[in-house]
Amino acid sequence: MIETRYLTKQYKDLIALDKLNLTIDRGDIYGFIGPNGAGKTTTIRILGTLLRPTSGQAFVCGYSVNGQAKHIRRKIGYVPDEFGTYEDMTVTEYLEFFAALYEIKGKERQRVIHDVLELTDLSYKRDAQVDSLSRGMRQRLALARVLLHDPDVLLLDEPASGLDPRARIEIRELLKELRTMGKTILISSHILSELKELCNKVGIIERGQLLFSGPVEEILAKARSHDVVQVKVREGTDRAVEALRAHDLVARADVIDGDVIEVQLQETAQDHSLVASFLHERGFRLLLVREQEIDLEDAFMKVTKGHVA
Amino acid sequence: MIGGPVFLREVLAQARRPRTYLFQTVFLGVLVLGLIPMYAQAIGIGKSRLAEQARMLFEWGAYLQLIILTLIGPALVANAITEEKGKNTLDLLLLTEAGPWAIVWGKFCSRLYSLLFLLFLTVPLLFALLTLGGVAARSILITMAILGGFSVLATGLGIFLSTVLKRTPGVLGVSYAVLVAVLGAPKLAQLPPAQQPLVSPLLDLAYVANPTWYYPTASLATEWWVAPAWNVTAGLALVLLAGLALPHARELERLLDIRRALEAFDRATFLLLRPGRLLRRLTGGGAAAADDGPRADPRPIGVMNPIYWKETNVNTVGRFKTWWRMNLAMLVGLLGSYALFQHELSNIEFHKVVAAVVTGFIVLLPTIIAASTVSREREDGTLDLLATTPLDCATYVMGKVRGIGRNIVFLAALPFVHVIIWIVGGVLDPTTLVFFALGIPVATAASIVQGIFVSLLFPTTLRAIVAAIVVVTIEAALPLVCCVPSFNLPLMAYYMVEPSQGLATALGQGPQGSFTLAKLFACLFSAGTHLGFLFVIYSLIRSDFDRYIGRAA
Ligand SMILES: Nc1ncnc2c1ncn2[C@@H]1O[C@H](COP(=O)(O)OP(=O)(O)OP(=O)(O)O)[C@@H](O)[C@H]1O
Ligand SMILES: [Mg+2]
Repeated sequence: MIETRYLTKQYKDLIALDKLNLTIDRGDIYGFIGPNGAGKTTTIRILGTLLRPTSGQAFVCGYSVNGQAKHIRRKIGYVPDEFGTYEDMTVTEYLEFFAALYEIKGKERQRVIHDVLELTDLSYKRDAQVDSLSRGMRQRLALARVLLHDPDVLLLDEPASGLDPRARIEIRELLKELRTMGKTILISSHILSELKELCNKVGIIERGQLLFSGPVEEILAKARSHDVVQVKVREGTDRAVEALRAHDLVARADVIDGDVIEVQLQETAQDHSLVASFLHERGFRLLLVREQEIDLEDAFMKVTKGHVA
Repeated sequence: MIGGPVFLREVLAQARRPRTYLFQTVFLGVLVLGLIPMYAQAIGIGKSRLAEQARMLFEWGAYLQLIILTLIGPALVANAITEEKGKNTLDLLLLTEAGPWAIVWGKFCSRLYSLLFLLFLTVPLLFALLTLGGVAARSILITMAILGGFSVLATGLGIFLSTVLKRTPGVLGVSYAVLVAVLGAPKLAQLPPAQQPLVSPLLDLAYVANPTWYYPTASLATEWWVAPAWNVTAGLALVLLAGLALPHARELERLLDIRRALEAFDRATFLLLRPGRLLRRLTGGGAAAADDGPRADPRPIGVMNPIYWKETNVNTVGRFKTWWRMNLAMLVGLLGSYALFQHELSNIEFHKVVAAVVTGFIVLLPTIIAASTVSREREDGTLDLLATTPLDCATYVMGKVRGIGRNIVFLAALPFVHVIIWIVGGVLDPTTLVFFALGIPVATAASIVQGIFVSLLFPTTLRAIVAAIVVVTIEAALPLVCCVPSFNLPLMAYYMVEPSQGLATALGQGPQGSFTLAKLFACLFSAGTHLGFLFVIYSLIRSDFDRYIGRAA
């Protein structure tokens, strides 16, 4: 549904996107993550036909953004990261206005507006002024707006930023519902833990380059490749650390909070069972052995190495 | 450093912007363009008449400068504080050690500096007149003092209003109203002629350039400084007030939000338009009174062009309440002018001037309104939302033209109302109506389209409005330079009421027939050129519409 080939965007002497190759299939919920200034918004604005790429190609629903933007606009719904709302307009008027711009007419228009209001739980606000809505409601209204013309692809730039946890959960539930409706969704975000639950694929971008793109499980596995285990011994924590540091296959051993020792193994290590057996052989009594939990944040930090543009 | 750190920051920022120089060039350009015809006339005249010509040239140049300062001064300062408020950087500025006075003082100095610089640029031009004789160096210096004092007033006023009001266009509007009132006050208040120059810089200038106009009282010759002095004092006082107000900017902004009062006014006057409802309410049957407000009128979009709908129904002068208010103001203005000039009503010269002034508004207002539409959406961040819809150029431009057209329909109708009244009154020729009908609608549409074009070209509302004013000013100066009066609608309206004797003589034999022919010629010429202009501008917009509203083709 979405494909970019060597997509490059240059602002004066800053290369915001550097030969980006991205493929998103129909029905994917693609999480697009990266630090500030990585080029997420730039990518999304190019796909949303608002920016021209400097070079390279991008296709949405088979249409090229160079020259076929007109066709793309009917197929996509774009929610910018920051957007204004019209003053002095009610929620219904707002949706009517955009429905009219999408050339949805008459009875059909009323039905569509009713449907999207139901879907986004905004029916009870239909007569409220748009600029009186809370941020969360505005965000839902923005989603309602882009659903009017039933687009195949949704481009959402940080839809959950600035929302409280409750509003975030509401947005997430809404997006899950859209997933079941078969939409292809590209969603950029800083809140990685949410993407993990929502997305089936993620892409990690930094300084305009795609560092990773693939299923969520794959990136978690990739991050886990350097095993970290935490152990706790009944007594002699310091001696245990000394002993572990001397081991060939141990890259690092440190005491973290309390008496827990965090051990990182060399890449050559088969699995982390050797830590337990090694300590056991040396006569330490183990109170705890656990594999460190890897989540998307760690994966993200690992893949991006913490560079911030 | 005289203006403190804020001053330095602003001046440096200005110096780096190429548009500062562009602005200065345009200013000088307009001035020179306006003066060329006078120079042209001055060539080939004897020495004694040359001096008189130089004096006239000097007078005309000084007025032109005053007009330009009035228009540009507020535009330079209008966004000084509103912009900081809009971007929420004001609170940050207030947290610094600078303190409110340092902030407003810095802004004031930097903007005043650019304005005085513009003024300074024209000094060589004026001194060139010395060589022709007829103008004393002292007069030039006094003129500079008067214009400089007025600049201080304009800048101080702008800073003050920018602090207490919310939106830049509001600041601009109020500034213009106040400055025009200052310039015209003595005439309106019918002060004795000897005192007029003391109050108004305009009449002060007139006095300096042409002392014989006034009763030659001994004191006036030495009291030219009164107007500049009070201008400077008032300007500085306003800066001081702005400093006082700055920490409370937000509360003041809310306090001065006159929307409530206006709405109450609408509610009170609205019923006048609905005699049926008024009658019902008076007879006590007003059960449905609750929904009586003018707000109850937002029309559903239906099959309307959505852009047209938004233009006429949402947050614009189009929402019925404001529309009604504007119409009322226009009507009051027209009737008020009749009351004010009751002795001139049967004089055709008066009607020529009224036609010119009203059509002047018809050009200026739609251009400015149109100039602020797109750029305001761009500033508000709603343009992106429009840009991702399939919206096309024709829908957009047509929607805007029809919408703005409808919003100003009463304004555009005003010359017709005036003409009809005085045709019935027997002062004007009935054919005038026909010529107005042919000429004015096309010119109005052309103004709107040129405003939209300006709005698409400039990123911020303020710049777009300033550009619109410059464009209209240049157009107004065109006939003087290129002898193309068609482009100056006020001038055309002037001639449509009564054509110039020269044209009439050239076109016909009998006195009456030739006049009609000359009027017809004037209005067809105007309509034709405006139509062509409209077409050219629209083609320009359409050729690159996608880029103008910020999207890929
Ligand atoms: N109009 C512009 N002109 C110049 N540089 C720009 C422009 N827009 C973006 N950039 C630069 O391009 C780079 C990528 O910006 P982009 O907005 O795509 O990042 P992002 O990943 O969306 O960041 P964030 O997480 O902060 O939203 C940044 O370095 C930014 O400064
Ligand atoms: Mg971004």
